[in-house]
Amino acid sequence: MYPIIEKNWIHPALVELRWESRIDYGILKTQQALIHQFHKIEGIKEVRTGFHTVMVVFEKYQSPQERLAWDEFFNQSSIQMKEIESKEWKIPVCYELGKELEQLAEMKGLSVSEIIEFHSKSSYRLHFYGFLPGFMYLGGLDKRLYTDRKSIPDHLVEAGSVGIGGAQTGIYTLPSPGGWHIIGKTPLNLFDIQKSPPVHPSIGDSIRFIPIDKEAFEYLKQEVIEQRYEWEHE
Amino acid sequence: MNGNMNKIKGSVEIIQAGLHCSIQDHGRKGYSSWGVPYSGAMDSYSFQLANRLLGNVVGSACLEIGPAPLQLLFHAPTIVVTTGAEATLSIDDKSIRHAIPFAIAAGSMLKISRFTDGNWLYLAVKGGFQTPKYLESYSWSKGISSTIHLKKGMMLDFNTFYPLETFKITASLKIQPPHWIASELSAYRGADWKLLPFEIQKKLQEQFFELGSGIDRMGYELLGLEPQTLPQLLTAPVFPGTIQLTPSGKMIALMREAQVTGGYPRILQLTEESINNLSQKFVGSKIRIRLLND
Repeated sequence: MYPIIEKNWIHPALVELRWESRIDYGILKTQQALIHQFHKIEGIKEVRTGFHTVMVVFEKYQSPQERLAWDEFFNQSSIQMKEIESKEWKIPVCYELGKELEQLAEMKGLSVSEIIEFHSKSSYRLHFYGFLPGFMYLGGLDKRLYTDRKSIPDHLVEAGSVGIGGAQTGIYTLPSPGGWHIIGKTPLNLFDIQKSPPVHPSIGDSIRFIPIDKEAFEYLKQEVIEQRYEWEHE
Repeated sequence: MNGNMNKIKGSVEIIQAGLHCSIQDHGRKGYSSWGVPYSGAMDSYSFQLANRLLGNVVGSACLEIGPAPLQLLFHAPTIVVTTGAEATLSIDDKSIRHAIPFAIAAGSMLKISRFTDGNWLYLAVKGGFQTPKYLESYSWSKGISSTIHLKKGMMLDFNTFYPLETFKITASLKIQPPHWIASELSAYRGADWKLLPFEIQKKLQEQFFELGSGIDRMGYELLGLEPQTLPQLLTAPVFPGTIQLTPSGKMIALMREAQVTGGYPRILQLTEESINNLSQKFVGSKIRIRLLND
């Protein structure tokens, strides 16, 4: 069981529900079970999630009595976990194009092939999107790859860059300043506004990084540009 | 509404593009679960006022104009109104004022120069701009719209109406002082307020803070606190109006284009009115927080 440990009303139309502070698939399933219940209820304008938090925005200010009723509801609804039917998406990554891969290997006292192995062997869980459109917050990075963010962030990280920062790994979906160590590049378009939905993986799905060489990268890049590429999943 | 109207496509050409100018409406809600920020007008009060004065549908697209000279050449007639930041305004070199609808003819030039107060000026046209929609909103935003800032030579579409005389200009406002004069910003305690040492909580309510450099649609900086060593937090949701505390002591008041999640402690949550107020304040302004209780 993954109980809510705090309910914090920021103001009468915004409440934060908080679990224990860690990245945990059990917490994700509990969050999803709770959010699933919201579909049946009027008055909720928006729901946002983090690793261990859910924030609920209401259409209108809730009275003190209404807030008490909501607290009760949150308590009851967070008891189950939703078994998520999840897909595992394959994301091709060219590690040769990771401009900081060698630096990182040196920093961690590992070989480049060990970095690639530790990064690509895992299945990562998608907890939520944030930071940039289509930017996935993934759980499951091998502890041996944990690396503090760069103290001086990069002015511009290219879209498609795969990086490691702190205890997280992810893919930049747009050109952006960033402090993560870039270990590879994907030819895929992570956020395609022409499509509905503009992303492929859903919350609760998992991701696997598939190493590819430069030739394959160029080929797939072209396939993506010409709208011929189909995302693969299990 | 106003008798016979034939909708024809009209456009306005950007002769001088200014800085930080973009098409904005009331933003795109409902896409935050994909990491898409709300976007929308920085000063939602001035934005809504402009539309209301023209009788536009709520949330119609306006041109949000940052503090630098701008010149627009209208290729078709319409009615325009400006609100927001104080600046020198003219149509064909004849001076115009905020909050009063003016008819503008094909071939007329609207000029904006010399901003004297405020950062964001809103230009509304009758019926709203008819630029492309992205995820159900006209708002320009990085990674969402194909363009994010006005460039010289661009054309912005709107619906022009004939005959123009059928529009009676009835709405206007007396000149009022800008709505951002007050130095107090109302805010609720943020989700991570309890992590703050008592002395910091006290300072936040008593001290004046200075608005640091940057008229950025993503966030404004508030300076005045000492460097902090608060615990690293797991990424959690943030909203426009959320004020984060960074290790350097710098506070960041997240604005309309801010990302939807963040890792810094969320110490305050500004009201909508305070976001609008803050958006128009000059760098160097002194600001105080008025803490609201439930």
